[in-house]
Amino acid sequence: MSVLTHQMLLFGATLFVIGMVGFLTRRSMILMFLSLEMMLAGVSINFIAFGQEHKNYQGQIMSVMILTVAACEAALALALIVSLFRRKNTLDVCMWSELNETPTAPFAEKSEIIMEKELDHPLLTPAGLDPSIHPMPMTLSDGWTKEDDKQFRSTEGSSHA
Amino acid sequence: MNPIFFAQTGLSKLGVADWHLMAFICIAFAAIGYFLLQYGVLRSKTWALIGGVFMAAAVVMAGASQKLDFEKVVLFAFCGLSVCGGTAFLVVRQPVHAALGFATAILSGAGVLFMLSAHFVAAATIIVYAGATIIIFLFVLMFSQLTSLETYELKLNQPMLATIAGGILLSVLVYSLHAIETGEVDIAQSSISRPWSQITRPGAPDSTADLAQKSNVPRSTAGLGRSMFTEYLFTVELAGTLLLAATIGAIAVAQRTLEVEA
Repeated sequence: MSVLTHQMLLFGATLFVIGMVGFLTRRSMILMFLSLEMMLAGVSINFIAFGQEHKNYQGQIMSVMILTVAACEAALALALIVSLFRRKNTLDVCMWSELNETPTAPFAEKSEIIMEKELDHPLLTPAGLDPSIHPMPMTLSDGWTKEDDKQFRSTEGSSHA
Repeated sequence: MNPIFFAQTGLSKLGVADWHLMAFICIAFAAIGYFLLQYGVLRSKTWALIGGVFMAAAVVMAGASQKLDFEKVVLFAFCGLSVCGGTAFLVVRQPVHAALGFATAILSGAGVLFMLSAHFVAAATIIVYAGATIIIFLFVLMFSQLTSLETYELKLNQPMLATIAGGILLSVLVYSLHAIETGEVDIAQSSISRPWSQITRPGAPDSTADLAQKSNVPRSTAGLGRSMFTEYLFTVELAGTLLLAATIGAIAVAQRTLEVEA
């Protein structure tokens, strides 16, 4: 590989790592999205350096594809950010930590801010049970036994009847 | 004594193959500095400036170790500006300032692409990212209160782990580049310069060989367009379809339904 390719690969790697650190640390959703774009720019520079190295146009064509995908991503990400901002009135991504799989310890600042919008349920098609009427223990260690399960299932049947 | 001459002699004593050592030192210093900034240990802007000056000196020394012509100077200036913009994007707390740093990084990156004679991609980058960043500017100005910073701008999410991960990733990339340079990794064996058909079937004709002879260095935008609309036509069509789907999706996601609002 030529020296120039080396230097450009190093530059692309630096941009990528800057974007990655920004994505991991930033909590504002818009700035996380900008970090993603910076990672894409680093990868694009990598492709063009390799295209110069091998003396063909494939790297530039890949880079044009990356630009297209980045534009699509910008449109979709901004739409998502707008709709997420409408629900919670904040850009903080930690506010959405309840979307993760297992029940984890809540984020430290989460208890301070309770929006009124969080309290009312979205108007979806009714399915399952309302958790405010039928409270359900989070884990099995909270004393959830087979009898509880049977009782829960029987109440479920009766509530629908 | 001329500092550049001093740097040259010092580097020649060090050996050109040892540039990765300096790169590791730079990465370590950058990581430590970022870490100190994020934990509030390093608050003074003077200290940050001194660190930046040291970094610039390291870059100048690295540049002094090789022959420079005008094109390379411009190229490295763009590279340095881009990395500085990225660093400002990482460090700065005001979201508007961070967006400015991002714009600097991306536009200088477009300059680098221009100096690599990828003219079309450079122009497209400027158009796409300039449009995108202007829109993002509007969003930032709309969403964030300019008078006071929110807590989520000030308290970052796990800066230590992120710094360690980024430093390790960059070090591994630098080391792999160094390994290729010294020949520890044989790149001829991994056959990155040959098409896949030649690796799997050694007797197959090399379709890219005649292309490489025809266009010695891919410099012309016309050649890129010819290649794009003949060999990679399906890719271009796919990209257009993707853009259409993303437009429809963005409109569908962002529209405000009356039931939810009421």
